[in-house]
Order: sequence, then structure tokens, then C-alpha cells
Amino acid sequence: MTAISPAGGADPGATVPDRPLLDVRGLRTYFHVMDGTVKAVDGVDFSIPPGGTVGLVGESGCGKSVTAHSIMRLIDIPPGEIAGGEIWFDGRDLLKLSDSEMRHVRGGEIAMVFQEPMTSLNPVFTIGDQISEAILLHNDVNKKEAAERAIESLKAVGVSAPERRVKQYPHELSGGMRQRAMIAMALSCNPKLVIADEPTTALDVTIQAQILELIKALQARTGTALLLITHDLAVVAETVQTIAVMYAGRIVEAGTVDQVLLAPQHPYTQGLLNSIPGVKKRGRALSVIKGVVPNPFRLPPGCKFQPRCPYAWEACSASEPELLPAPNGAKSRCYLHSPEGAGRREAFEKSVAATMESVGG
Amino acid sequence: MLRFIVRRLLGAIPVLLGLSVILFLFLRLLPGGGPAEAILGQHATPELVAQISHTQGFDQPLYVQYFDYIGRLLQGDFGSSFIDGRSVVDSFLVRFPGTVELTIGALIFAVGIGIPLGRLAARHPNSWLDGIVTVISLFGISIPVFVLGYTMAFVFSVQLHWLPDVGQLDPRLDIPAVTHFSVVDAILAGDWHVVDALSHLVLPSIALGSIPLAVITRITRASVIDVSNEDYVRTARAKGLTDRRVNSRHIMRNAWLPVTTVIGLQTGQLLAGAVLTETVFTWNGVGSWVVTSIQNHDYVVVQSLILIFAVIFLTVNLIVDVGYAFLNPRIRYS
Ligand SMILES: Nc1ncnc2c1ncn2[C@@H]1O[C@H](COP(=O)(O)OP(=O)(O)OP(=O)(O)O)[C@@H](O)[C@H]1O
Ligand code: SF4
Ligand SMILES: [Mg+2]
Repeated sequence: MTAISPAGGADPGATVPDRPLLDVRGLRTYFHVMDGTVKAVDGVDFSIPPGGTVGLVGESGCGKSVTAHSIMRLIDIPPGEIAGGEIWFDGRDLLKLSDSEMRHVRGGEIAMVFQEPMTSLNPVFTIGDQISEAILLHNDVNKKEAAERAIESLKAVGVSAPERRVKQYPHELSGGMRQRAMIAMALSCNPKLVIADEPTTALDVTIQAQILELIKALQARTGTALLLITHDLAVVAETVQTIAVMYAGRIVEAGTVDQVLLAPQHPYTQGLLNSIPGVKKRGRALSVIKGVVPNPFRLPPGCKFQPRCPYAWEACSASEPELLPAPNGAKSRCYLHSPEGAGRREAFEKSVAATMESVGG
Repeated sequence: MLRFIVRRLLGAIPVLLGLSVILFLFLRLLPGGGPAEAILGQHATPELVAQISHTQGFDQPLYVQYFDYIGRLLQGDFGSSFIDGRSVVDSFLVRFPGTVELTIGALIFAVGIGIPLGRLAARHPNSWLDGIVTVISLFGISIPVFVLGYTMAFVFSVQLHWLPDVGQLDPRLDIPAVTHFSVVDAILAGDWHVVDALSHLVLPSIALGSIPLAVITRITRASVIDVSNEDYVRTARAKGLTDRRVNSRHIMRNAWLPVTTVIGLQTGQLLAGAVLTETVFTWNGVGSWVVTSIQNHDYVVVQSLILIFAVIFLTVNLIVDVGYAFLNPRIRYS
């Protein structure tokens, strides 16, 4: 399938339909530290279509940020190591690019918004300086044009009096304003993909909602693809089309928002849903997933969720399940969907129904 | 910024007043009798004590003496030495230039080598390079200044004849003392005599600069490593900047902050005179003067020098803080 432009030639910049913009395959990122090797990301697969929006969810420490940093190749090597996998972006494997090729991708084609707006901007440079720095780097413009574009990009993210803001330093802005500035910086070079790593976690609840609205609106307007990382299912429910759930360095469930949130196929996802404060649960204690996130140095054999899973049986500790299609079309890494698990599935589905009831749809 | 400076200058007044009271009382309340006895030491006879007490006004009430003392200070009269009768201010103007030159020399050595070494170590933490840098700075901290000084003098002057071992200028050149800055005087004298002045500065500067070198290296290393782990450095890398630019712009601009403070503190200490270095290299500065004044019980000189050092310290600190504020917008605007 080749797109033919009106001039008759094939446009090399055109995105081939059906080909994902980002395709992460079998990504493994390890950290070699004093006590041994942390397999922070150990076989992660997911893809994002051009203009698509994907939410990456999971508890703290499951490897979400490491996944994002691996895509950007921001992992410090050593102690880090990308031990395996491919990261296909727009027709190239990012892991095979030279450092200088990768620098063009960073900030130009893939931009990132970080969790901590208070510390993610350099305290000694003005907001304007920091935004135009990226613009100057990736566009053929002079300083004055870059400064103007910085003002425009601040205006686009709803910053009032942007002409004044560009001359201010980060400490003069509130957390919400700084995060808007970060988003402005990320979008200033019209990237094809924006990775937002917990962009609202550090903010007040009211500001969180505003920033999420803003991200959603900007995504819709610019058509940029979005990878939204969060530990909060409520955040992704409102913002993205598909969800990938991560646990102990692996994707354990992936599907559309409706599939994952309305009919979870993995006990871990169900556990996450159970811990959302729902309308009907107000006043009642939230149930949290029992047990703790496993020690990265001593991961259990077989399914990594097995020590915490209420449905686990012998098969689960014998070998690790693969990420396979579940009956509803989503993918799940769980033996409940294997023929041997059929007997236990009923109990799981009943429990899921109860969860959905209490979460309030 | 001007408000900041004015506020700091006003803040220095109570500090100096407090210090003047302490110094004043220190001399009046010395153990073993009054100030006259202290000055005269073993030679004190009742007649001499009475005579000195009278000429120096020690027999007046304390508050009268204090206001008298402050009044003279405000007129720039810091008293005179009991030993040679020269006014403290005159001697200071002769000796301080030597100390300033030595301080500048030591700073150029310490900063010029310490910062690149610290950055190098920080770029490869825990590598063999880092290890070598650590050894160099431990050496700089732990080797006694006089051992380093005498060793260098022995090797580079006595054995190799590369550099002069003592003094500020070769007496045979007969360079007239105009400013008492040996380098400036040598330049004024022409004939490339400046080379002689500079060569005299090399060994003392290294000896005096060895501790600041170690301190600056360590602080630069720590500061660069600290800043490298900041979130905003990751942001800078995520923009697609080259490592070089991330280092020189995003890391160094922040890493400079603690380094400037340390350089400032070191400068203040160096200006208070390098007792050992000046002794080893028979350098005519305030350091050697402090020692001889203490040995000679020349308390007026000691008292005035402490006050002068305090003023120098406060001034250097103010300059450092202004520089710091200039580098750090968080202070500049609050
Ligand atoms: N530089 C590093 N050195 C050693 N271990 C690391 C490093 N960075 C991350 N890890 C480990 O990798 C694992 C995954 O970390 P990651 O930051 O990706 O978690 P996360 O899912 O983003 O969690 P959070 O919600 O807290 O941000 C953790 O166990 C962490 O300790
Ligand atoms: S494979 Fe077994 S232990 Fe793992 S989630 Fe499924 S049922 Fe639970
Ligand atoms: Mg994270």
C-alpha cells in the first residue's frame, strides 16, 4: 500500500496506513546494580497507531517510566542496559539509530512531559529560553522567530500573558503553569508522539483535571499520538483509546478502554479496578490488591502475579503465561484463558461482575 | 540588586561594632594585669606600666576609652605598633599587596586546575580517572604546606634552578617599590622584569593553592554529579540536546552555585594571610606580620588586623553573594 501524492511521486513522509507509529517489541531493560540485576522491563510489547492514544498503567515500580525512557533512549548506560527487543518508530528501529540520529528523534519527533513540573524545568533559565532552545534545535529558525514561537506555544496551552511568562523563571510559576510550560515545550516542535509520564500526579486535584482536559484537547487538535503513563485508571479512562496494563516489567493486559475497564481479563487489572473509589463505594473501604509488589531481585517463578492472585493454581507457578488474545478480543497474560483454566474462569467472571457493580460502571 | 547590596552593607555594621567591642575588651581585660603589662610583658616595671597606661589612656574609664577607640577607627587611625612605631595602616599598605598577589596566584592555580579535574571526575564517577583525581585532592588536603613548600623549593630551585626559592623580586634588579604589588612594580620597571616577579610567584602559589585546589576539586565533582541527577537535566536531554551542550549549559550553570560559594570562602581565608607559605618563602605579606606581631605582644597591631580581616571577609562574602545572586535567579528576585 503506497500513498501516491497528487504530484505523482511517493511521499516519503506519508505514514503507511496500518503500520503503527510506535511498535515496541519484546523490550528488555535491565539495571546492573550492586545487589544484582533489576529486570525493570522484561518483555514489553505494545504499539500505537499514528495519532492514537495509549494509556500505560500499573503500580509504582512496575517499569512504566523505564519503558518510556527506553523509547527515548534516556536510560543511563551503565548501570542500565537495553538487553533486548526492538522499538520501531515511523519505520526505523530506534535502538539501532546512531546517537546523532536519535537526537533528532528526541524532542523533534518524540517529545516527553515528565511527572515533576517543579523540578523538570531548569531553575536558572527563563521559560522562554527553555522552550525556544528546543525550537532552535529542531527547526530552521533564528532566535527571534524561536522566541515568537515559544510565545505562541504557551498561548496554545492556555497560559495567560505569555509575552510576560517567557521572561519568567520556573520558580515564579505555579505547578500547574509549569506543567503547561512543559507541555508547550513538548508540543513546540510538532512531534509525532508525545509521551506523558504521570503528567498530573504531582498536581492538585482541580489542576489535574484541567491539565488532562488540555492534553486531550491538544491531542485532538494536533493529531499527535499520545502515550499516557499513569498509575490511575480513572485518568486513562477519560483520555485514551487503548490501555496496556503493566506488572513487574511486563504487559499483563492490553485492549481498548471499554474492554479493559468494563471486562478486565486479568486478575491484576480487576484488582486495580477494585481500588478505584467508585460512586457506589463511597463510604466503604476500598479494597486494595493484597500483598506487595514483588522484590525485583526475587521475582516469583511462573506468573509474576501469582503470589498475590486469588485464582492462582499450580500451573501458575510452573511457567509464565504469554500475552494472548482473550475471549473478548483484548489480550491477557493469564492461564485463566487457557483450556486448563476454564473451570476457574467462572469464579473470576462472577467476581469481575461484582467489581463492575461496585465501581459503578 | 542595589537594595540587596545596601541591606547587606547595613547588616555588616552591627557585626563590625560587636567585633570592635570584643576586641576592645579583649585587650583591656587580658589576664595578668592591665593592657600595659601585657604589652610590656616581662619588662614591666611599675614606672613603665604607669607611663604606658597614661600615654595610651588606659587609666581612663572603659567607656571613654572605647569611644576614643571607635572615634580613631572612624578617622582611619588603627593605631601604631609598639615595636617599630609605624602606623598599622602604613605597614598594612606595604604588606597587603603581597598577600593579594599570593592569593590571586593560589586561586588561579586552584580554580584553573580544580574545576577541570572536578568535572572530569564527575563525568566518569567511580572510574580509575575519578580515583586518580581523588588521590590528587587527598594529597592536596593532607600534605602539610611547609613540607610541600620546602620540597618544591628544594627540587625546583636548589636542584634544578628553574625557579627562585624565596622573596618576591630579585634584589639585584633593584625594582623600585611603587605600589608594593611586585608584579605591577616589575611591569612599571619595564625590561621584562615581570617575568622575574611571576617566577617568584609560582612555587608559593602552588603551595598555598594546594588545599583550595583539593576543596574546589571535591566540591566541583560533587556538585556536577548532584546536578546531573536532576530532573531538568533529563528534560534537557529529552529535547535532543548534545551531551556537550547539556553539560556546559544545563549542568554547569547550576553546578557553579556551590562552587562559587566555596571559592569565595577560600578567598577570604587566603586574604587573611598565609602564615606558613609566607614563612617558607620569606614572603612579605600580612601572614608573616600576624605571626611576628603575636610573638612580640604587639596587641594593637593584632587587634587592628583582626578588624581589618573582618572587613575584608565581609567584603569578599558580599562579592560572592552578589555573584551567586547573579547566577541564581531564585535569589535574584526574592
Ligand atoms: N537507574 C536505575 N537503577 C536501578 N534500578 C532502577 C533504575 N531506574 C529504575 N530502576 C528500577 O526499575 C524498576 C521500575 O522503575 P520505574 O521507574 O519504571 O517504575 P514506574 O512504573 O515508573 O513507577 P512510578 O509509578 O513510581 O513512577 C524499579 O524497581 C526501579 O527500582
Ligand atoms: S496466570 Fe494464574 S496467577 Fe497469574 S494472573 Fe492468571 S490466574 Fe493469577
Ligand atoms: Mg515512573
